[in-house]
Amino acid sequence: MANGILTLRGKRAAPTNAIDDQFRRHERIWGAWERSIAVPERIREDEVRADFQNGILKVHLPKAPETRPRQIQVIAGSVEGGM
Amino acid sequence: MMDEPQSTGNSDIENLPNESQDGAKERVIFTPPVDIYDSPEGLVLLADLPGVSTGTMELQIQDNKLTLLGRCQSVIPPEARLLHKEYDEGDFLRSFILSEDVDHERITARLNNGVLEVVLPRAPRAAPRKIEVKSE
Repeated sequence: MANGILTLRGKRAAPTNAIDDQFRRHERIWGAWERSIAVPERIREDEVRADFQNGILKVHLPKAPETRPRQIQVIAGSVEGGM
Repeated sequence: MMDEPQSTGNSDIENLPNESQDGAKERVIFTPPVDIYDSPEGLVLLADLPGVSTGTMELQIQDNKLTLLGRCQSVIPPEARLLHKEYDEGDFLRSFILSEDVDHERITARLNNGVLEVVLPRAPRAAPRKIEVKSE
């Protein structure tokens, strides 16, 4: 997790005990994969946790508390003062 | 060697997943992707069944038909508000016809991280037997 982007990477190895690498059926996908997801909310990045069970990855992204609005004092400028 | 039955019209199995306790809800049934290959231990079948645990996995063999049925429990809490959805939840069902040379008694299966591995050892070939020929 960095800069509001969650990146997941994984790799699945091919079976190693196949005789002559001959497959009667080959429908599953092997290899490396990656996916990045831009998280639309502010997240407490140091509290992100994940668990992986039965092949399903679950990532918990706790939302950061909303920051309080901060008032910015506006002072009157001089009449001649242009931009 | 190991074929899928031409018609999956085996009503006894296909009806199973829909008979779940929350009867009102129709369950989606997926055909899981598989790899099948020869190994020194015999034929190996790998099937991707994400979300299935050993407690919700049923593997049965009847006559020469091997059927795998994996049920999934939803990981999304019912009170959750979905923001994005690409992943469909459902159960997995697939059947295979085993050839004669698979030793049914020694089939083993394990489930790891949602991947089912079934090892189907070959039956030992019967030793040649001499048949005595008698004369009358």
